[in-house]
Order: sequence, then structure tokens, then C-alpha cells
Amino acid sequence: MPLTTAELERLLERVLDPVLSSRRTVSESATSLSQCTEKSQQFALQWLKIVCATNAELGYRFITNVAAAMSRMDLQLVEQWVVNALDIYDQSGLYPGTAALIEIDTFIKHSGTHRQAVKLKQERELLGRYLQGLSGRNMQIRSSSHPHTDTESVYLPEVINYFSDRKSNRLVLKAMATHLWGMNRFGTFKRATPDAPGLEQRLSELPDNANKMSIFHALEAERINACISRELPGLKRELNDLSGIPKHDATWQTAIDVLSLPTSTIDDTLKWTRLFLKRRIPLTNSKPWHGSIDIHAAEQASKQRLDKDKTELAKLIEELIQKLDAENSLISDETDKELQISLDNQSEDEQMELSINGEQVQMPPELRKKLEGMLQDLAQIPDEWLNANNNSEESPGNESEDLDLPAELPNSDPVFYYDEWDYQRKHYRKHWCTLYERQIAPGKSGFVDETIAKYHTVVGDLRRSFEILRDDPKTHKRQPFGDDIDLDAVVEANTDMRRGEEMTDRLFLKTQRSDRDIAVMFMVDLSGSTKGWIVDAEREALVLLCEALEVLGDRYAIYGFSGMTRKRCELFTIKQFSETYNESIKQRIAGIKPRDYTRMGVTIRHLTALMDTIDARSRLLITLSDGKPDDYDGYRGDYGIEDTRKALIEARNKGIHPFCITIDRQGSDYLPHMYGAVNYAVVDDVRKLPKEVSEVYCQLTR
Amino acid sequence: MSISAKKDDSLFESEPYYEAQGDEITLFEAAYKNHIPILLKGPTGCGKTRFMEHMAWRLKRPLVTVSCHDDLTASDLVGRYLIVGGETQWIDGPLARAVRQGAICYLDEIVEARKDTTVVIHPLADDRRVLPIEKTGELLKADEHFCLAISYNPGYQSVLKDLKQSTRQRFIAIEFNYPTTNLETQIVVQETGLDRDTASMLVKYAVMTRNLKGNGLDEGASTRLLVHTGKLIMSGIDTRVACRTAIADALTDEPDLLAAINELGTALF
Repeated sequence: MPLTTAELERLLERVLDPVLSSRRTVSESATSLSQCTEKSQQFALQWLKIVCATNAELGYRFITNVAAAMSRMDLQLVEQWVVNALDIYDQSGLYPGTAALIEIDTFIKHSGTHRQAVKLKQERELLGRYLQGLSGRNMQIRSSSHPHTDTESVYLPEVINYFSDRKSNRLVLKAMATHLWGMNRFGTFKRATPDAPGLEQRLSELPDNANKMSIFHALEAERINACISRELPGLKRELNDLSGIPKHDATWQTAIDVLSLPTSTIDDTLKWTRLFLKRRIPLTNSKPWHGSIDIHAAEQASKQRLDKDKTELAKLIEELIQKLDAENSLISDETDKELQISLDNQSEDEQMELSINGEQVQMPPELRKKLEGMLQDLAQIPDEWLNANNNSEESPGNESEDLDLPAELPNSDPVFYYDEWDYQRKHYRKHWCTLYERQIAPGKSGFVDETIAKYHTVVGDLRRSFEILRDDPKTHKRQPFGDDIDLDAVVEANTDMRRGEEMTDRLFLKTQRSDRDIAVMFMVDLSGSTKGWIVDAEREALVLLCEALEVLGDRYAIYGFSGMTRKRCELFTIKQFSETYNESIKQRIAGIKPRDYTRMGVTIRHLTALMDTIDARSRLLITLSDGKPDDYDGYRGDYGIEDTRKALIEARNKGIHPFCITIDRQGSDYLPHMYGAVNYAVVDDVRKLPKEVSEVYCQLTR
Repeated sequence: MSISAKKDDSLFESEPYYEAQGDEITLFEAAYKNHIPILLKGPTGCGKTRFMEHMAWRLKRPLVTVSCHDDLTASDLVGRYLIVGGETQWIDGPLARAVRQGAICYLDEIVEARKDTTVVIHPLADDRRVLPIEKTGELLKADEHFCLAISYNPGYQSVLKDLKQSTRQRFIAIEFNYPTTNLETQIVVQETGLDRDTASMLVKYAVMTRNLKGNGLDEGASTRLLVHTGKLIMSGIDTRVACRTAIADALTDEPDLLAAINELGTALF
């Protein structure tokens, strides 16, 4: 039975109450909705709730238009219409969002294409992984109306609507991402040496012409195309199958044929550009996936990266030399003797070889990866960069410390003092950090229940997978009693008996829960940078985790940490080992707020000390973080990383197993150094954090 | 009491194919000569087991391989009494057999075994070189040619599956990794008979999946998977299908990740 006008009006009023007034009522909407079928009514009411959850005003606009929309489109299309409007609201705000709801005609007109268009939003994750697979370098995918690359990120359009079928549009998006990756991989922005003139400068030396940039880009794009075709023949075949790709005239084709040779480089593209400009050859049609080029942005980013790489390279080489020294495999005994390091990457199979004093050495994987990355920016790495071991005594960064921030006014919170490791001094700074154990102000009490409701399916899944962990039934052999006969034991007992020995009574199999003896401590990053989504995700992650851990029965404790300078490091107790998960713990989780900075070392030392009082077979310290260690007084960069690393080594020496879960996509650059090669997990999407934390824990203790 | 083990039960007659990645062969030989047990570290499918077979052939010793699982107990390794024709008879386990006949004993994925098994190998793995057999009261002294090797994959992210210091410090460790691109291509060609171009494409695909390690994927495609794929292709299976079944589907069940890996595959082949 469809609802009546009065019933509908009551329902709508309840939902839309905040945006209604005496002149703005829902009676008209209720009347028109009452004409609809029950199914349509349910559909409208269900979507109304969803839209109102985003914005009540938008909800009002929705309900006034939905009857008209349903009269002209099928429900599937109406759904697209709402989702489209919500998307527009998310990106551009309320006014364009309501406009999209009102203009049903426009939507219907474009709906044919809407079904075929491919949105970046839906493909972003897939493409991100795809690009990561192609290149070792972690490339971000961002949206921009001018698809281009700045060598750090690939910018792709929000929507691809070039072809009339979805499959082809998807292919164009993939080809575009590949093409922009190819520009980096096949050296569009590559320089011979760090001091060689960049592309921007070299282009400015060519004759001026309004089409200069476009001609250069068209030619270079064709060169890249050829490189990609060689590298990825499968993609080439798919692209060849696309219809309606513009053909070139004879002049262009000649140039393209030459540029498609495997030996062609950016130098050839520039040569041909000069020729084309001189002969005033008109532009040709470019292929839909070529995108555009932003040389300035690319060179900026590549320059910054090279600077960073240079110092990191020096450090890696220094580590290598120290390691070789320790192994005594360097021929020279005089340590002050200048080492000659050279790199041979000219051999045709692109295998790099590093030699020290003429003797070839094996490169550690991090060094190889770094060099491979750098060779995408430079044709040749200058020898002085390889031999930079003399100038690595760089500015410490932490000497600007002691800003004399007043220590927090005396209060009753317990105070602890901890040493801090100074990697340059290679010594501890005694009693350097002051740590306060603070209480967390309780947040609103409904938070936990709301989160559980929001994630009810996830909670269910997690509970199940944690139950499996808990109930992992172990069959114990040779038990004095049990639920089955242990045949091995019986045979053995028989042999014993026949040999005249005493027969054992341990003849049974017993199925028993494995006794997990795990104590786990979570330290949650509450630095200012977690403000917004991240801290929300952390809160939710903790709720899901507590729910799951309660099922499992592992002992656990949760602490938050933050602080400002070494004089005020703060630790917030959320749950101690001895506490049970109750209402006040739930409120503390809800009360988590982002604070100041992240001084990790001192927190790890304090928690290690706390953990040391706990007796368990496996003890875990899991850090939830959003970035590198960082504090106001110079606790950053190498200093912060090295102190944190030292603190983690101390923890490991006490038999505590550290692990880190981070949402920093760059995490894999520094976490292996701090936590060890396998003791971290990068969660690439904040929204996944709540679920991932529990899953990682599940994996970790399986 | 009699020993049921046949003499030289798994001596290799022809050379098992193995391409050295570095100096692992010399290292192993030196350790063997000096009675030092060996720990092989490395990801799955990178050639640890094949290396052991090759070394056994090289040193002309039989190889006893035990794949450890979580129900493997000490007596599975050492041996037990059985009743044969109404009489009790002691049957050596694989480890005792290897110790007696001077074979190379290779305990694959040692961390998977029960904790008590690692204790059994302790007296064998230091200069005592003995295997106490509790049941018979025998203190089995290792043959001059006996050699103990264990393998372990440090990539597992589980705290419960870690090798104890007291165990690991008895061994020299040889680290294995995936071979370099050229070498790996060579291996695939040799193992499958595939042409070099296709083999190098397969290796390229494997490198791409290894790039994804850590972001959802626990391990990239191993050399072994490439060999499987190559064999499928040689049997007339379409390259794309072979890659999907032998690489992508074998690596993960997660739909998003699977889509990305397949996407890389279609770009390549």
C-alpha cells in the first residue's frame, strides 16, 4: 500500500524539519509523491535520508524534484541523477548541487553520455596501483583539467568522455596515465648532468613561434608513444584497436618514424622541433591520451627531488662503506685514503655496477633503488656525488633547539625524564626529555555506538576473523585423556609394552584452544597534523580494534602521544592493561583530540618501560602514525628518525616487537630503517584505516 | 634394531639446473668444509630449494629435504619405534637418517615447525654435532660429511613465526633474493624452453608485481611462478590467460589488487 499524503507529509516534516518554515512546506511534495507507487515512494524516502545526511537543504531540493524525476526516468537513472548531484555538491558546493537537482532536462539530455563516461574517482585506486607496478617510484594520482605530470604526481582529468563506449573511455584513461608515466620513465625531463640546462631553457633557445610548445609536445608525445609501445605491447595492441584515432600527414609521419626509433631521445625531439618551427609546419592532431605538458612544474619537482636524493645517496654510500669496512673487504687499510667510487650504467642491459677503488661491489637494494630512481632524472650521476662522503657532516638542524619555551606550569601529572639519542654525537643526551602522563578529557558517550552502527558489517567481519584466531583449535597429542585416540601413541605404547617397558597412559588426542599469550600496546599519534579526517579515522580504528580484541581476549593497552619540545612531551592514557573496556574507556576514545607535535623516541622509551612490567610470551608495540617523527625544536629529519630508531632498538632488546601502521604514503622510504624491513604497513587511504588496523593486527598475530 | 634407510637414497645423478646469483656456492662449500650449519633466507620461490639440490649434487652427497609444517614434531624428525611383524623396530626419522649416512639435511621453512623441533637441532648445529635419541638412549654422532641447512622467509609479518636468537646464531646466513633481470630471464628460458623475448616480458611482469609489495601484496611473483607461467605458455595456453591464472590469481584474492595486476598484464601482453 502506497503511503497517503498525510502520512508522507508527517514523515517528510520529521526528516526535513531544520530547513522548513511556515512559508516553506512539504505539502506539495507529499501530494505529488502520494501519486507514486509504493516502490517509488520507498526509493524516494530512502534517498532522502541519504541526501539529508549530506545536507538538509539539498534534501529539501531533492524531495521537491524527485516526483518529477521519477515520472520521466526509470529508478536506476533517477539514482544516477541523485548521485550526480551529490558529487557536484561534494566538489562545488550547495548552489551547483541544487542546480543539478532542478535541471532534470539537462540531466536526461546528457544521461546517455553519463552512462559511458569514466570517472577518475572510480579508477583512481586501480590506476595508482597500476602505476606503482610500472615504476618503482610512488606516483600520486591527482585530478586536473589539464592532464600533465610534474614527475611526482600524475594529473588526470576527472571524467573521460571521448568515446561513446565505456570500455574505450577506460582505455584512454589508462593510456593517459601510462603516457604521463612514460614521460618520466623515458626521459622527457631528463638532464645529462645536474648542471646541464633544463628543458625549459633549451626550448627557449628555439625560434619563437606561437605553436612552439604544442609542436614540441606533439613530437615528444609520439616519441613517448613509441617507447611505451615497445615496453607495453599489450597496451599498444589495445590502442590500435580504437577507432577514430587521427592520422598524420606525410611530414609528420616522417618525423614520427624517426622519433620512434629505440635510439631516439629528447635531443632528437628538440632537433625535429627546431626543424618544424623553421619550416613553419602546421600542427597535427594529437591523440586523445597525450594530455599536456607542464615543463616548469616538472623541472621544479625534479630539482627538489635531486637535492634530496643527493644527500640520501651520500648517506647510503657512507653506510655501504662502513659495512664493507666492517667486513674488511675493502682493499685499502688506510682509512683516510680517498675512495674512488664509480658507477657503470652504460652497459646495454641496463645493469648498474658499482665499483670502489676499481673493485666491483654488490649494491644493497636500497642503494640500487635510489640510483635507479635518480637515473630517471639524470643520464649520468656525477662522480662527486658518489664520492660525497666527505661533506656529509651537514648542519645538524637540532642546534637551534632550546627555544626556552617555558615548561608547562607545575601540575600534578606524573613526570618522567628520558634520555634522547643524538646520532651526530653518537651519545645519549641525559634526561633530555620531560614526559607528562596526562588524563584525557572524556568525549561524548554515544560515539562508540555510532561507530559500531556505522561499521556494523565490518565489525561483524572482524569479530568473525578474530574468533577464528581465538578458536584456532590445536590438537594436542599424547594426552592422558581426550576426545580421540592417538594412534601414533598407541602404536608406540604397544611397542614399549612388547619390549617389556612400561606402557604410557598418554594415548589420547585433545583438541584445545591454543593459548595465546600476547600483550599489545598501541601508541596513537595525536599530533596536530592528524586534525580532521585522520583523527576521526584513528578514533574509529580504536573502537573497531577494542571490539575485536575483546573477542580475542589478548591483553591490550592504548596510549596517545603528542607534545611540544623536549620539555613538554605528553602521553595520554586511553586504556591501561589493567583496565577493562568499559564506558569510561569508550568516552576517552571519543575524547581523543589532535594536539601538537610528534616526538616519538621518548614515548617509545616510556611505553617500553611500562611494557617491561608485563609478563607475556609475545609483546607488541604498535604505532599508529601519519608521518615522520617531528617536533618544534629540531626533532625532525635524520635526528628524529635516528632517535626513534634507537628507541625501537632498545625496545627490541627488551623483547618487545615493534610495528608501525602509517597512512603516510612515503612511509616505505623511512619506516624500514626505523622499524625493520617487514615491521610496518602502509594504509594508502585514511578511510580504510579503521578496518585495516584490526586486519593488520590479525595478520600480525596469526 | 636395524636401519631401514637405503644407502644414498637421493643422490643426484644429473646436475640440477642452478644459476648462481652471487658467491653463495663458494660460501656454502666453505661452510660445508668447516662443519658450519647454513641458514638460507629469502622470499618464497627464489631458488632456495633448487640451490640445495644443486649443492648436494656438487658435493656428491644425498639430500634429505623435510618441509616443515605446524604439526611436525621432534620425533617426526628423529624417529620412532614401530611394530613390524610382531616385533618392535626402531625407524630412523629423516634427520637421524641424514646424520647417520652423512647426508645433507635441509629443513625447509623451519619456523613453521613446532617449537620443540628447533631444540632437537641445537646440539647438531654447534661443534658437538650430535643427535641425542631419547627413546633408544643413543647419542648419535654425526658423520663427517653430514651437513645441516635450514631455510626461513623473513618476509612473514608474524611475531609468532620468528626464529629465536639461540637458533639463528648457530648458523651462517646466506641471503637470497630474486635474481637480476637478465639472470631471471635466462632461468625462465632454461626451465621452460620459452623464447627469450617472452621470458623477458614475464620477468618484467614479475618486477611490476614486486613493485606492489607492501601495498596490499605480501609478496611479488616469484621466479617459480614465472616458470609455471612459461610452462603453461609452452603447452599452448594463451599468454594472457597463463599470466592471469599462474601469476595474478595465484598472488592475491583481493579484487582491487587483482584488477591492478591484471591491468599491468594486459598492458604488457
